[in-house]
Amino acid sequence: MSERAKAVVIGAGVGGLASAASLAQTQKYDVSVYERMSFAGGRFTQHDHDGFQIPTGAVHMIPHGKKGPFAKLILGKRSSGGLDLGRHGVDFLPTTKFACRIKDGRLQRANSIYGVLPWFSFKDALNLPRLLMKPAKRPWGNETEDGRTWMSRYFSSDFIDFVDAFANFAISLRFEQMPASTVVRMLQNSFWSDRPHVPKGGCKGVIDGLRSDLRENGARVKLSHEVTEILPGDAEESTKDNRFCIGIRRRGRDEGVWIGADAIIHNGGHPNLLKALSDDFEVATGIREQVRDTQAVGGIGFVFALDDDIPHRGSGVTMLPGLERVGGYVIPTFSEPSLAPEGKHMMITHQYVPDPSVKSEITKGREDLYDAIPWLADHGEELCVHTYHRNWPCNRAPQGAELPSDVGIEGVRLVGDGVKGHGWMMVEGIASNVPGAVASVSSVMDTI
Amino acid sequence: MAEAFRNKATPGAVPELESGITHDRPITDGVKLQVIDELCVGCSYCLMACKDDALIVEGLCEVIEDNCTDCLRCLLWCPTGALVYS
Repeated sequence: MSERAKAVVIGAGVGGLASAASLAQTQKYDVSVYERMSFAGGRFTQHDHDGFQIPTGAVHMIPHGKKGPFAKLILGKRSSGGLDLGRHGVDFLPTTKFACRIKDGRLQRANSIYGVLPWFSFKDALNLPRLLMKPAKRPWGNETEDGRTWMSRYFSSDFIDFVDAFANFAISLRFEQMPASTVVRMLQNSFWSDRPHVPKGGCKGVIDGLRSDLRENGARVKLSHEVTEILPGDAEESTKDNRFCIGIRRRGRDEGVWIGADAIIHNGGHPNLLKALSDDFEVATGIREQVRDTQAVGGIGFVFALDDDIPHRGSGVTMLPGLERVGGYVIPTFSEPSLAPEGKHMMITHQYVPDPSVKSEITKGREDLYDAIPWLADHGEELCVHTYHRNWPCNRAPQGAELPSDVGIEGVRLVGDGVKGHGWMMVEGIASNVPGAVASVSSVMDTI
Repeated sequence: MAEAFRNKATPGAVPELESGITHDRPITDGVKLQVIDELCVGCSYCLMACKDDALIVEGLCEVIEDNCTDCLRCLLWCPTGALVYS
């Protein structure tokens, strides 16, 4: 047992747990996960509030459904690099519509991407191949043009507002805040993929599946344990045979303990990793500056309880284009009724945060919602408002920041929201980066 | 039980609670649930954890002292350590 190489995963978010599960399934390594908070799942889980399964950040949505990187990682067979969590009851349920939009108080619904096209001008449909064929698998480099400027060359403002609302909803950014290549790749990925899906049992369904798998493979998940420092292995006698020596403190206790590790997967964001690393490590040139200059994005999401008489029946993402703040909403309970008490539905909205004054941003978002959704006042009740700003959550970089998973230290890789692959949004971005990070730390541990 | 809370309920400290707890209210005068505004991000996790309607989150979190039963469930959920019991 003790002869196996020790892999430590810092942070039990969905990226950290999936990495840990990948490592543990090989049975070659001794895997432990340390999580600062008292629950696992980070922003991809939920808590129960009077029967409503309120998400901690994610909106109970797998954006690219069963065809995206997340499905490939979570549900894919082990022979093709997946975790095969279907064995633990994990499944994704399709949304009933591909996408919707509320325009001038009227709800439009589309069953596929092609169903969306008639909403817009002929010019938009004609120019769509230009967007889809544009090479954008990699960032274009030295980009000065933002996404909206690029899009406005080919598409009507009606169309741009629609997809911009989608970006606002999904990743809290507007097109003018992202490089053009990121916007192009993101839209291509969305176009070629499946409709969004809702995880069975909500986000926590996936997290529970990951934890069952970890348990089955002998990996530990330690909650309320915070990593304070990362030192070279020879810093302490007890860890001198390991590559790293990690300082860990149980929440609420003063004294820490040292544990050894041969490889680290860090799911706590670049700033926290750089802060934890001791001066003995040399970080690649330019990384510190790049991380310092990357502004984390904020977001605000309302959760509403709805009665069963709402005229909007269906669970696709509904875009609310042209609003000041809010991008859109989903009602996942039409796909997964267990997320709300019987006879009720749950609606989750999302908006970007251009101004640091969160209180006025919340007020603006609420005004947007009641203005744009005609039936909300009669059928909805606000349950809570989630906000993300300042240093919470720890792990978020804007889409298009392209921060590297590798900061130049052998045996350390980052996963999570801070290192989304190019053009992959939300959990798809997290999943697209996990296999590479796992392969990299595995090869380091295999050479010991 | 109250004794255990007095010793463990420090900023950031998380007493391990069973769900559905009932316990004596800590009787130390002046010790109460407070919010450090500089740390609060208004994420509403505490609101979800609170079973006594003792918290309001409108931008930042506020405690309604009359409703608070000192169950400290919210401390368990606060991601930034903004809720303290002191």
